[in-house]
Amino acid sequence: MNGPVFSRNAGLIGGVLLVGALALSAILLPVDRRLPMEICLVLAMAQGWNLLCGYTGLLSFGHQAFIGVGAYTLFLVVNTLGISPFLGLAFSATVSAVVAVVIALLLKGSRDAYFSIGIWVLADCLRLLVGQWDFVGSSQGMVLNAPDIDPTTFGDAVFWAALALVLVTQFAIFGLLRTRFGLGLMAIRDNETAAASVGIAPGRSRIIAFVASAVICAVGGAIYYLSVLYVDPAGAFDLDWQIRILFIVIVGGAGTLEGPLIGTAIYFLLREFLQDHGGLFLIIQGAIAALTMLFAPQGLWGLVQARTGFQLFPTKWVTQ
Amino acid sequence: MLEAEGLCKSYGTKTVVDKVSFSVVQGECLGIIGPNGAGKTTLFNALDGTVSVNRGAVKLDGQDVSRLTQYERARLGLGRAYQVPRTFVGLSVFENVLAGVMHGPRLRGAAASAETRAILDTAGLLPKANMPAGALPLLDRKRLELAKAMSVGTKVILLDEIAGGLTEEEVHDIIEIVKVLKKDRAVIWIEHIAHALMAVATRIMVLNFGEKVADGDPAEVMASRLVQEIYLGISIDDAA
Repeated sequence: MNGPVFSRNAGLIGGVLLVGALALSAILLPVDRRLPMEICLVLAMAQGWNLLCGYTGLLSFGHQAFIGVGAYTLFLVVNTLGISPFLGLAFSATVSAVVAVVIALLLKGSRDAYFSIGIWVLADCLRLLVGQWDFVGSSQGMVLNAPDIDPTTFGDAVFWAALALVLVTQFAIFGLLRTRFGLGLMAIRDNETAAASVGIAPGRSRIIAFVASAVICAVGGAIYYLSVLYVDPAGAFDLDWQIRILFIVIVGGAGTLEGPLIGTAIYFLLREFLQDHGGLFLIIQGAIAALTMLFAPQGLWGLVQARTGFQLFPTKWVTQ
Repeated sequence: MLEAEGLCKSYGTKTVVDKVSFSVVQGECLGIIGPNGAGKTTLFNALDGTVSVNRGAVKLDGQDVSRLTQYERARLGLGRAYQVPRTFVGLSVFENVLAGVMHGPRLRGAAASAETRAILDTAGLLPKANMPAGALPLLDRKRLELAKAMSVGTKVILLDEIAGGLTEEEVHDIIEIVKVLKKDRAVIWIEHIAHALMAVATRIMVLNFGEKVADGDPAEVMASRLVQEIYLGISIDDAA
């Protein structure tokens, strides 16, 4: 066999089975669909952010900006144009892509901590701006005005949208990483100058990854606030969104496609079991994050992968 | 293959590269020597597009590439091995070279794989192809740096002190690889290890304070009074 192949492609069967089983249980389990919907959205956002942090090497502390932009765009177009909320998601994607390009241009020369802090500040500026804007209800927020929503099917509809988002995200990023472009991203992450020296265009590749991750978070945020029919700047632009994503990716394993699955599971298990114990959830969450950074800086799946080389979503090129 | 015409680069009032002109053709290996701070690495930066020059032009295969970025020049067949290896530590050895083969000559599928394997074979890394590149020892990292330069450098390869820090035996291995490289490419090699250059270089150019002060037959240049003076205290007999 002379062609380049991906290592242990058989692992993909496991990956597809696992994701399929999770999706099926989300569909079939007789629980309130709000929780599975939120899990799908948070996982999608985490994978989007992982594409940027784990595969492109840009650590963003400001992705809550895109969640907010996505949600507000949806509410604005639905309330003013009277279109279907699900059509409005396309507007969320488009507007967030434009905002992402502007932010990317503003932070063009910033790397590492400068980028992380720069985007954090910009995200906060957006939150304050939206909070001052009377047309969208300033700090009071706004209610979705969509009279044609049928309350009996609405919960299911947003759940299906969330499930579609996470499945498309998981497999689209997987597919992207197996292309020349994906290999280029990882090279940029490891050494930008060396990447340029072997013909990879660092600036352009980085913007594409940044916009993709922004759009995923924006659509995720839009679906989430659509499900509650209300959005306010303090919630939609809350740094807490970013912290949740950060925890999930860091604990699960940045730069792996399996890590965010594990991180999401840990996050929601903790939250659901500790929801009646107030501050204990935050204490345990913080302790897990600290312990992971000390003993498994590459995350839990990163540890497994370093020991065994096993991938459920194979993205490594090998030669026989 | 590669021509430099009156390249000048200065930082403030300090001129680091001063009106340097030369050319190399396929099959040639141009050695560059000069004391620390002579502007050797800055000259490489000007050639591969990492810095923009104040004056002068770089031509690759007759085409003026002076305004092109580093990645655009790489795609035209200019490869570079850095003094301190810049390995993609999160990728395997195979992927380190494959990335260049896919982005430079833009090969795909089986052709990309075959080319990558051929390069790894030349560099003596084929048995370690699937190892994580971050786990390689120094000599192998230097070999990989060469292989990465080969992956895009189909026409010209710039080598920046790739033999530094290696044992005599390892230097010999690197020399053998460079001999293979120059057959169908032009090679420019900055090196302090005189005997390594003497073994492969077809010409040697001397830089001092950013200026080209000699360019010619290796033995003659190394024996010249000028070089003896610049490298005060180092005679070729000792070095070789």
